[in-house]
Amino acid sequence: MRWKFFIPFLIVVGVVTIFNILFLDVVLKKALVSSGEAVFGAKVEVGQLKTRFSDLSITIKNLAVANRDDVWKNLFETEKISFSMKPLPLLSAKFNIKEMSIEGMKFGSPRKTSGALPPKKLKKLEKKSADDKDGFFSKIMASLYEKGKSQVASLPVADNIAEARKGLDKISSDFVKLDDLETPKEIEKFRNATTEKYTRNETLVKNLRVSERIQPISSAFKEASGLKLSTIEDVKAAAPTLEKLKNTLPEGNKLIQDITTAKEQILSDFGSTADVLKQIDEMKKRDIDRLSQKLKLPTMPKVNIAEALFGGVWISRYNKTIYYIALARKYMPARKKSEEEKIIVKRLKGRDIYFPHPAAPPKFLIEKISISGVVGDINFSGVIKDITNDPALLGRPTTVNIAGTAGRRSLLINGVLDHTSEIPRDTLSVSYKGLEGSALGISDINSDYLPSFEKSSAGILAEGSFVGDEINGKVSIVTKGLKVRDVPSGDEVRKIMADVWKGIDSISVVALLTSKKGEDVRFSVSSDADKILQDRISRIFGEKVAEARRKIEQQVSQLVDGKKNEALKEFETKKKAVTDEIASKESEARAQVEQAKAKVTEIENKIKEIEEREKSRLNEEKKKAEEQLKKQGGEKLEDLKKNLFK
Amino acid sequence: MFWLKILKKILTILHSEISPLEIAAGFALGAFMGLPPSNFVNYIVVFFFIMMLKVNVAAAFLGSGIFALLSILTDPLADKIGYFFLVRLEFLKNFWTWLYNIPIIPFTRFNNTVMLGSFIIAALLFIPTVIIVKKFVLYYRANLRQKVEKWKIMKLFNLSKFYSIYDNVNQ
Repeated sequence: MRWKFFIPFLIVVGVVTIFNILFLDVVLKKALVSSGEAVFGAKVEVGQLKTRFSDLSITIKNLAVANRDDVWKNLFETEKISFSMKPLPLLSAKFNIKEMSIEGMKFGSPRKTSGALPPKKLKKLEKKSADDKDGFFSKIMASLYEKGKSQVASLPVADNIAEARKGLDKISSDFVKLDDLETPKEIEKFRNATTEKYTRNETLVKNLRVSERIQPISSAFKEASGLKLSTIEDVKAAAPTLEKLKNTLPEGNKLIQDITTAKEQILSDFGSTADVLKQIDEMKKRDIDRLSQKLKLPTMPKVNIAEALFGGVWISRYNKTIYYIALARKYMPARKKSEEEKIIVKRLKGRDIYFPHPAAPPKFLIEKISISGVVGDINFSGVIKDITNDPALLGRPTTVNIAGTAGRRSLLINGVLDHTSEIPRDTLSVSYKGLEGSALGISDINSDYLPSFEKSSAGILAEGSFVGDEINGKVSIVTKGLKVRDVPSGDEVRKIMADVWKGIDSISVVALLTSKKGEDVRFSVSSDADKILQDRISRIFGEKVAEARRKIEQQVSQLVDGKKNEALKEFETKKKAVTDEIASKESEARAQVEQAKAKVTEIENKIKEIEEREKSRLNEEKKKAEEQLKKQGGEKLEDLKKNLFK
Repeated sequence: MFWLKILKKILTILHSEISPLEIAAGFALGAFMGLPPSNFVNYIVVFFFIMMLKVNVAAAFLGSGIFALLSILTDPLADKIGYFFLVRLEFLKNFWTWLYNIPIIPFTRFNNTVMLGSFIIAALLFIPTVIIVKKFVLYYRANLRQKVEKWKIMKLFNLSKFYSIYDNVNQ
């Protein structure tokens, strides 16, 4: 044994230890920066780090963590962090802090230098985190990222209206050419058909030979009209004439029947003017539709204003929240169900196996963090309790309670990260009232197609629950005080959008996110303004499209209506000619037949009258004769009686 | 230049009059510093043993350097061995738990699989390393030393001066 080296050894160890103690601040600062960069993926800057051995305290001043998504801003910064470690656990390499204080915390403050890590370092960190890519939360974030990319950043409906506007402008005075139209050709065909019908039906009328068939009736009538009926002898003489007249009646009825049939046929053949008009108008409509297609007037878009305005930004906020929950679960893991109760964490080139003892404190624990800072102009303060690497050993969940107010504005954050059992349960609730509309992160907030959010204020209530692999998130946003922007003259699309927004001075939006293992992420954003805007845009859009169609209609009408009117006139004239002709034939035939019928009736009545008269005369004579006979008989009887009893 | 320094160190030790056993033991002890990942407490403990025991310090540091290079190859195996001892051997669980929860010991990072595995590999390799290195030193001094002394590089190193300084220090 080289005992003489014992003292030099002690000296060397002492020097090294003192050296480490003297430069502990530097070493710790370096460790803080490198671990912070590994966790946040962006630059971490520490203004000052001081250790004090007397109470094992550490004070960190001006800590700034850059935002990796916006490298010219800080994710957060703090003025001062101070805490002391418990001495006994420290001897066992356990970092237990009873109380930590974080003062002057700010979020999103601007940076003077970029917070991006050097590419080499970033690549190294990304390589490390590549192992986590198959994790459940990573997949959710990837899925949400893809959804975010496909979310429309600008209002599609404004583009559609602009397209419609362009389409409208394409309609010059000679946009519609006669050769493009089918209607004039159809009208010509129609005219030819009308002529054919006219000819056909004229022939039909001629073939009825009405005058020819009426002639026997009228001559029999004439004859019958010449009859003198006063005596019974006249009746006997009139009988053949009457019979002749009667015989013409069936033929007359048949003629009327034929005429009626022909009339129906003619009317059916020609059809109604209304039908013809309808036909021509349909042809016109088809031409207009075809020309409208040529213009490529866009179809009415479905409006989801909420999705367009808020979708992208809230997807990214949901993504960030999921990222930090995943981070919390990584560094404060729930106790895994395995035969080993050891926590296994990849460290250095191998794995750290922890051997927690129920009576011993966890490797890392902060019992209480008193936090204070400012968000916007809200001074907030709160407490975060029980941050540890072994929640199951500690037996208590991590809780977050932060609150702040400033006049009308208020902020309230409550959260519980319960990883004490196998299934981690994380709940978070954030309420922010009086947020400026411009801070909502609305895409294209200065877009000319949106109302102004400058003087608006918003209230946000965000609630999320992460139980195992299930996520349920809901964000409700109410924005009030929207103002329609002034529109410069001449910009029709902006005017249209301003009309659409008129009267809407507040929007309520709900963004929902649900996800379960094995199912696709479901994200939706909806607002109460969507229906109102949809109706208004439908109306305006419809008006624009209708206006375009009207222009086309106008031009088509100009080219077509003249021909249409001519064709209709010709149709009506020819139809009238034929129908008038057959009507006159019909009335002539009916008149003759009625006349004949009337004559027959007259003659028959007259005959009946004469016969009645004769009959009555005969009856009277008979009666008289009977009476006379009776009288004579009576007288004779009397005489007989007299003679009998003389 | 780094390799030149290593070569210089090796030749210095080989061409000195230091006991082969001391050289071998020192070299083998260097494995306890070189194979495991860097850890201050481990270094202090191993360095203590190196300083206190009658082993060659230079050989120890040389061994530490060479085994550090070899650790690239042995780390995966060390991880497996460490995992086996820390996790699979259930009867050791209480021992590890006791060790993990007493002061100072956790600073050795014994609960890291590569750390413990590397220590076990260094321990397993200790005797074979001592035997091999001792045999090599003896062989070198008997058969190769004089040839190598004639190399130009030896003149460059100016080793004769170093020999005397080295001998004095070791004695």
